[in-house]
Amino acid sequence: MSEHRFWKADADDDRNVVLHFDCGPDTRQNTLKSEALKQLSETMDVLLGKCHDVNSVVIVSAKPDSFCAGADIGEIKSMANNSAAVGNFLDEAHKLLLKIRRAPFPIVAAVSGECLGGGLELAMICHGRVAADTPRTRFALPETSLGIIPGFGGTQMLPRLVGLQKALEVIVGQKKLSAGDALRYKLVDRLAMPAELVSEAKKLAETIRERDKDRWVRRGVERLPVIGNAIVLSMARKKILKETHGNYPALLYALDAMSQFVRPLEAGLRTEKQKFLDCLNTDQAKNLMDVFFLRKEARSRKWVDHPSVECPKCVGVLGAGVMGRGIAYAVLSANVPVVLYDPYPQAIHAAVIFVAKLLMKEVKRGKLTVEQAMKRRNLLTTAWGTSLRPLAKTDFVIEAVLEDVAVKHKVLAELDKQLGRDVVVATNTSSLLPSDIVEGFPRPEYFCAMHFFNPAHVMDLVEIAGHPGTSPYAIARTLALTKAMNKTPVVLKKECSGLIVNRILINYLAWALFYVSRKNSDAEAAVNPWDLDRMFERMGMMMGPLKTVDLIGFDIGQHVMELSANYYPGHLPEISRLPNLLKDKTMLGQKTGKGFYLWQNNKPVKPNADILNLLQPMASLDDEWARLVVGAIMGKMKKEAQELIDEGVIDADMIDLSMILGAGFSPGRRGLLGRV
Amino acid sequence: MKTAVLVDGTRTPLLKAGTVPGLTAVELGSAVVRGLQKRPAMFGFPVQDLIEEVVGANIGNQVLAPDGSNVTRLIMLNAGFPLGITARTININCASGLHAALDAAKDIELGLVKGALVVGVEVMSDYIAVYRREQREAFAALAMASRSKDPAIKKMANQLKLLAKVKTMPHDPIWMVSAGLTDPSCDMRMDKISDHIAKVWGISRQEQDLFAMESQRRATRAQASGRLAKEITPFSRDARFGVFAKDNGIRPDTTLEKLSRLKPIYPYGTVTPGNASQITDGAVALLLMEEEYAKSLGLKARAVISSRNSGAYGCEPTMMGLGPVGAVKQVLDRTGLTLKDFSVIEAHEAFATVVLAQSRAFASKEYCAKLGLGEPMGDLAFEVTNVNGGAVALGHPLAASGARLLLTCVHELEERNEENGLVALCAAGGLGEALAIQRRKQ
Repeated sequence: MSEHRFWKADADDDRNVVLHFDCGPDTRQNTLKSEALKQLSETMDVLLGKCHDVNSVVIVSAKPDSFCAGADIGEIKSMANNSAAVGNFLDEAHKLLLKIRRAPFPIVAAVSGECLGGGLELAMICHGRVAADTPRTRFALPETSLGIIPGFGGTQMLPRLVGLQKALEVIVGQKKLSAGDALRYKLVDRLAMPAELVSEAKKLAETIRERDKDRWVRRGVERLPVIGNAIVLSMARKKILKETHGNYPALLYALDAMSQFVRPLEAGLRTEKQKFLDCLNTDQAKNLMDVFFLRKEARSRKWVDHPSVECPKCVGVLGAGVMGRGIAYAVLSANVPVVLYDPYPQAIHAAVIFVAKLLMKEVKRGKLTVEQAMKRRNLLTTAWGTSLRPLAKTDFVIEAVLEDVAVKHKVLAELDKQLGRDVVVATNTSSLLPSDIVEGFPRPEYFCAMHFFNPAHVMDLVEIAGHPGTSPYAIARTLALTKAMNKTPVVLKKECSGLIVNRILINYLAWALFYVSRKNSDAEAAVNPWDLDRMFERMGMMMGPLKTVDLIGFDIGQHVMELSANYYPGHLPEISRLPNLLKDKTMLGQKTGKGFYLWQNNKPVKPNADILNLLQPMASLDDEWARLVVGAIMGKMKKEAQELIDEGVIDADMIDLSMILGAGFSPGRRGLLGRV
Repeated sequence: MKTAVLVDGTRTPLLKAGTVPGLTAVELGSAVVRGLQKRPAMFGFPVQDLIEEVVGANIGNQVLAPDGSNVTRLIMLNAGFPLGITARTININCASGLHAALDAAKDIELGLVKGALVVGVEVMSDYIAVYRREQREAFAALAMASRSKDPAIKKMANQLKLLAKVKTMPHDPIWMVSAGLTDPSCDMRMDKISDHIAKVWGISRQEQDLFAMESQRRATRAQASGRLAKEITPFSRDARFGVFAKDNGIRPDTTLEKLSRLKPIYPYGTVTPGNASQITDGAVALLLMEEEYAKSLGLKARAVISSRNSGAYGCEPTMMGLGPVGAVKQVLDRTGLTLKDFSVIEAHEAFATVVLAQSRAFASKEYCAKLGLGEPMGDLAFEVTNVNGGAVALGHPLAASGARLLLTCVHELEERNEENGLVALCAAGGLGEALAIQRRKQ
């Protein structure tokens, strides 16, 4: 460990000490490495030693956009197998917390920028908090998404400050708070303009000192045990079990730790430490941390042998359907101008409303100011009609038109006439082979596949694949855009239809349909479709196969299945042996309100018994049989994944990551293939 | 032949009708002339010494009271110009403002005058209302009876009888704002014609709303960036009313969703208040001079306004918005340019449908064949058309609009450092006028 000073103290004439936290110029974020904690502890000892010379202490970050992003996950992961080491680490950390809490002078955290995990916990243990009133200021405790729990006093301090109900939203519900939210929650005491942050913090410290003048020891507001808390906790537990089927034990451990918040801080911290250790030992914690690092690797890996290139300056999006508009919004989020084209004004109309609504939502959530939202909206140019000329000024085009080779050929040939000679065109194809599409395009070296997932502005994964003639430049350019959009790229070494996720997922859907229908002769009885969904969801899938079919829509699903059956003969059940779901045009999945489920407000409300008429006849429930079916479907998917590896398309780790990020495929099990 | 150039110009903010109570065309017109005089470029050059005539444009305020039948003369006198300077007012409906500029340019080109002031003014909030014919006749009969030499008793009986015939309630006058916007040849109001155009050219409500939203967005951006302020002279009357410095028809908070919720004006129609231009007051003043004369005085020539580069054309009155297509064709013929050569296009947005229909007609083989062209004229590039929004967002003070588009076009050419601009307006009666502007690079 290099001799870096993480904490720099300076005092003003009134003996107010300001502690600047800085992890050095090489890092974008401040993280609480163990060394940083050690130095903070030493600094505190020094300050306590001369406590008569200290009026107050303000903790502030030297990086305006990152107060502190929390603990160093790498350190935690490396310690994970050694409980004793973690225990010691936590003991030391908790000692530091008590030192801060019991200091005879007020300590105030002045938060500006991200304040996550351990950073927020450090801020909470202080006697007061001031937040900079900018959209960059965010508060969150994301530990449970890594399968662990807040271990630096978070489970104890947050309920004390904001109450149990709201603390649950943040710790269990993973809610992120803006500066305004934090003030409403009483998580911070005051907001300040960024320039006045430190002076405001000093003023707050003064107020606290006046208030607590007579008290010798400062302590948190301890709450009386109330019967209400027990009810809230038990309801939260039930809700978690119902929603996660016990796949995320960290949430339950967090609840256990939080239940102790009415006890004295020391006792609460002891419980927290115990629960943290229990939690760290679970497979889920290890898997989720693995996934965290896999994602990090995917984002930093050198995918292509080409020096990195600039992000495009103006992106064209061809097609303003559900994917097109989502992609347009994702590109806008990177503050890159977009030209969105669709032949039909109706589609553009819907897309413009879509973008305006999302921007308004961002403003409401405090993520953007009104001016920023306006500026972003002004980056969007729309065009409709017969001419593709408005796309002429773009230097990167994402094509998201109908999934039909003939249509794509026609559009690409037309498009090329308008574009500069070095403009990369990426196709957002879900199930066609890039080589087949590129036939219509005169500059094949500037063509590749860039596959987004629905909803494109939310989903993190972007699959990128070139056909054999794609130049490394085209891939590098696509990667630059992906990076600018803050998405995780996975680049295939070889093209294949359906890329990674859809190639595997189509097995999931087709075989599920196969087993819920009794048309097939091998199966003695069909499985109840809703049971099948439930079993998969219990395994930690975000969505059961039939719910997914509903979401895709029966007609599109059928189309994709036919396409895939052509590319991969023998992998999928024969189409003729699948149930014909297209008979009833009012029952085509979520978009018609009816499918395997009845849908309301984009949510499946209850099973739709009418679907059974199409699957007929129905078998009796049999758990054992259902379990076999689940095994069989998983087997088909694993076989497909193995083929991807054997063909040299991609490695196992990235398959897992893609399935998790693209299809919500049980991160707690580390994706499809799991730990090797 | 001499060359006419635009030396300078300004406009008042476009104010929604009713913003300034009791506003008259003379007041607003005089204000914009004074505003022109105060422009930095005009420092030391009294406008009245540079010009020999004033060509005004107005439609609805010069009918009769309160602004007389030649409102331009009133404005000129009110501005204190010498009595010898002549003044006339042009009216060919919404293209009046552009036509007034062309009219002045023609006089300069012919060498009749060396400088001319163009004033386009329209105060739509001051439009009068008149009695219907039946009511007028009843009033006339009553007046006749009052003047009769009959014995008093008989006269009074007669008067009472006629008074009973005068319908005073419900008082139902003809509003000139509505009557003025109705084409008597087909007895259709302009919004009805817009609906008709939408139907014939297959322009959906969504497309119109999209267009209107884009106009609002561009105008909002231009206003926020200070681009619009460059052409505006703030209008103020006295301290009580404060200063109006901004176009107040722009709705920065509108969204496409809000626009699509508006009720159409006619049942089953597509035209709404949101995708039509607004009823607005506004005035524009342009100073046109002979180029050599301007140069000899040390005044900058900003753009050439040549009547030879203009076009005027008519089509069916029920297709009011398509007049400019034929007019633009003439402009292209006369200048040898194509649609692609224009870096800035100002197309008058009487309605969203109008510009959308024009863009389709430009690209339509059949329509262009009707005008005698073998090939369509090409695409109207929306990225250079009305880049600062149009009448849908800013408002449409009828006779001032043509001059406003000319002024905006020259400003935008300067902003982008480009040379060729195109201005096109449709006018009720199926007419259209267009002008290719050539900026003089300094």
